[in-house]
Amino acid sequence: MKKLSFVLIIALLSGFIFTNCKKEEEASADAIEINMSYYKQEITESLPLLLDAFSAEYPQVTIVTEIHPNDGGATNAAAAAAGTLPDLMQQPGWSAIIENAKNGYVLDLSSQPIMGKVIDAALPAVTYQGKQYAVPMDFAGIGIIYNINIFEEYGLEPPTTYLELQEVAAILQDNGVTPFAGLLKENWSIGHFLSMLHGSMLGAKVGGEGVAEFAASMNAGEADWGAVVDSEKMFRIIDWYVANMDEQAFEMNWNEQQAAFAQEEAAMMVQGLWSYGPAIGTNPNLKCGFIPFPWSNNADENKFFADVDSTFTASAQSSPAEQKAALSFLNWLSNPEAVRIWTEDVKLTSVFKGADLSAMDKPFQDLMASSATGAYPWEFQLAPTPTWEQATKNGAHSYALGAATAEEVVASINSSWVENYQP
Amino acid sequence: MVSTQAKRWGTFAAFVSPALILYVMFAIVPMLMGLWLSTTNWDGVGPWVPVQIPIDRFENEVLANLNPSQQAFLNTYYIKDEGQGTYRKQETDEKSLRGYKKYRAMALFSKAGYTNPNFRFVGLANYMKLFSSDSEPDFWPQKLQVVRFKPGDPLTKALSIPKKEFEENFLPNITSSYDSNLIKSLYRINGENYLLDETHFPRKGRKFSVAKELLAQEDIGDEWEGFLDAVEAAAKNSQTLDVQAIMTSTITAAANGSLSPESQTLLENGAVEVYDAARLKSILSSNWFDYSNRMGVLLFTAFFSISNVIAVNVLALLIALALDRKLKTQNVLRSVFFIPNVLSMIVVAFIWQLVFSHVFPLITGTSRWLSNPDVAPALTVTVATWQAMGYYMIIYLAGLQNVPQDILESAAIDGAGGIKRFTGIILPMLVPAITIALFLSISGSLKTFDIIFALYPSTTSTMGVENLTINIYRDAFVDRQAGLATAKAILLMLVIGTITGLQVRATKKREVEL
Repeated sequence: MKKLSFVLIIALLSGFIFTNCKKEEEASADAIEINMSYYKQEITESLPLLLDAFSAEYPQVTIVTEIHPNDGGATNAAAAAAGTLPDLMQQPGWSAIIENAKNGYVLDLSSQPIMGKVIDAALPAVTYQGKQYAVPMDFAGIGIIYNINIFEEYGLEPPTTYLELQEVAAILQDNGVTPFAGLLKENWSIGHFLSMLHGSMLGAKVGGEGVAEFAASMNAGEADWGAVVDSEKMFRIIDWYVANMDEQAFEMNWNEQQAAFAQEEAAMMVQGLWSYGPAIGTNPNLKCGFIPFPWSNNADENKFFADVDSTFTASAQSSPAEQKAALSFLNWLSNPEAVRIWTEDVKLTSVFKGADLSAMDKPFQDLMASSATGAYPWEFQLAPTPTWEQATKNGAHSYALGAATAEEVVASINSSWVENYQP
Repeated sequence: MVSTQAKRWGTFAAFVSPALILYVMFAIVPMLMGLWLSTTNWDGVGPWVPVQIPIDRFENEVLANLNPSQQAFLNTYYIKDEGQGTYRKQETDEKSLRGYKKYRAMALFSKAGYTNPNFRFVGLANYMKLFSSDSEPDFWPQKLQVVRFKPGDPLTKALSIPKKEFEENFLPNITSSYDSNLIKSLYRINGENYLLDETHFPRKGRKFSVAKELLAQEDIGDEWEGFLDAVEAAAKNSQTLDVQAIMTSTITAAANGSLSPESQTLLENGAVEVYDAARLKSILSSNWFDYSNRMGVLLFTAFFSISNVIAVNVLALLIALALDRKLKTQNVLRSVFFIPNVLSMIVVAFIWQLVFSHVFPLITGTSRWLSNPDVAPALTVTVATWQAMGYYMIIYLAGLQNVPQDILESAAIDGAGGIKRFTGIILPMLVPAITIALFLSISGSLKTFDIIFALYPSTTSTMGVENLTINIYRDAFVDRQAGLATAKAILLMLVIGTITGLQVRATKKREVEL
């Protein structure tokens, strides 16, 4: 009798469990969960707002995020090799897109409606062999974010030439204010600085298209990275820049740079506008402006180092249902509500036609206004990944430490470019 | 009755064979795969079978060299894309080259004579590269010259030079007696520093101060830049300053004789000021330097492993001995020492970054710790030791529990002192614990990755703290040389196997049994 009772209880429990499982399966037949990787750590708090707005319109799609900061490229490379790429990926333009498209890891988006809404200037950064493999999201510039309050306190005007910049820095130094918030604990920022100077000097000499031609010559092993610009002047500007940072700059990472600038311990920081959001988040009373880094004494040559920054790609390794959900998200991104969240909350510019940027803060207005007169493309996006990651970033960092000469840095970039370029 | 033979087979089938299968699947197969990959040029990203091939090459170089059934196999997965002019590999759930199909496709491409540029056999080239002059410069030890003053540094950086720096790293490096005398005349000792005589540089050598004055002159204007650049070039090249010649060659008004007397004076005075500052900066940047030894990947791996193994085991044993006594706070102290081992490596790295960046400078007055390549290796070992010590302390405490108290008491009665009891009884009986602790710490130290990666997110190479595992990661995922990285990983595995094997053999011999 006992045995019979036991068997009956088990049978009842099993029936109950199976019935409920089936109900749940039926309820979630249309629901799908996809994952998204992103590398911009500064949008960690605002990205969910965008995803929530999407989920409100597409309740059956849930997007789970994972951050791949700094080494985003390496993490995605490992995932690609394992066949586990996230369904949606935030990736930088140019080389990352080309590499993924070449290997067949991302979907061709050329025929997607969203691509017709992107401004023409943003398309080259996501195009490989005439097809678009990513949705460009923001146009970003690297320059000087300066504290208007501190400038006004010392009667300073935003510098338009290197001469004026040196004078501004000297006045700040003499008044005990650190000119530039430092970031030398990591190598990427000083790498950006070196690439910005080189790309700007080269751009001033040969124009934006000339920079792409130069990259092609480097690919062919026919150009010398150092010889195409005044290298001596370029490295002297780096010396001057590092000397005008906090004494503790080599112990400061990105968070500490933001904190120093936000707390008004430093008057300027050389950064992309991705750093403006966190700074204003720390100190809402901060009044900031954004100017190109004036490396030249000819003001007309000083333009923003700007290009398409982040993009979204969809993985070709996902299942058809996941790809469909990922494409629905990408096509939704030009929706006015998505653009509003992107510009107002995420605080990045938008590259969609007719996007209303009027609500953006002054630094973004400065970028868009100045970029109307032209900008220098991000040269580092055209270099092979190891050349950028190792030779340029590590080279610039070693130089700042005093452990490598300018000639050694240039030689390392030249040899790395030739070794690592893959047609 | 079940025979002994049958029992043995049953035990093997139930317990040993699943373990063996798992071992083969997750140890032997990956190892063999690693060996295979280390003989290729794979970049870690590129597909093993081509994603797309030009139509003519696919048809004439691949299909033409295969039999019909093989052609049919490839045609199932490669679809002609006239628009792109290629055959493209399909990526759908129904038709996808995965699993054994991928290897069959690779074999067919190979048989047809088509070489995939992303995945090519290179023999032992990756192993040879490790020991050739082509290997990365930071792989081997280096002696670097570290400059203290760079050409573009403002003179304000050299207004005061610490006495030791001045006398050891600057003055002795100046070979020209003229330059040496110039420096001696410009710097005066004041306590622990040499101070620049600022009367020579009333405007701190700031070129822009002179430039601004020149720019304001109508007959000079933008030509100031060429003029001052020429003055600086003369100073850098140790040429005598010939203001008149530079003026004539760079200032139009000077060349045609229309330069105003005021401009003339400003140019002459400015030239002297800029020349003197540039001359001093040139001497400083050429002669103020020190040398710094970078261990390189191989030596740092050895240094880190040896130091960490010694520090961890010695400290863990000392703490275990201390906490083996009957103390009231015994349990609390054991927990305190073990807690770092419970923490995530990221948290440990974050804590120590704060300590080195914010606490140490306050206590010592020295601002750079983790960012100083001369001390970074030792600091890295310190953090790793702090984190791991508690774990080994537990192993030694467990070993100490096995030392019979009666033997120790008898020895004490016989007059053996503390040191004698430790060396004669405790240490020999601790050898089993030492065997396991050494084995774990040696293999763990050689494989360390997370703590170094978290302490130096992107600067392991420049800070001289890149060990072999970080270097392997960098090769595989940043430099995109998965073949080379795998070759290094296999060598590391062999090194770990050899060292730990020898160690276990040596310590096992010394184990005593009661």
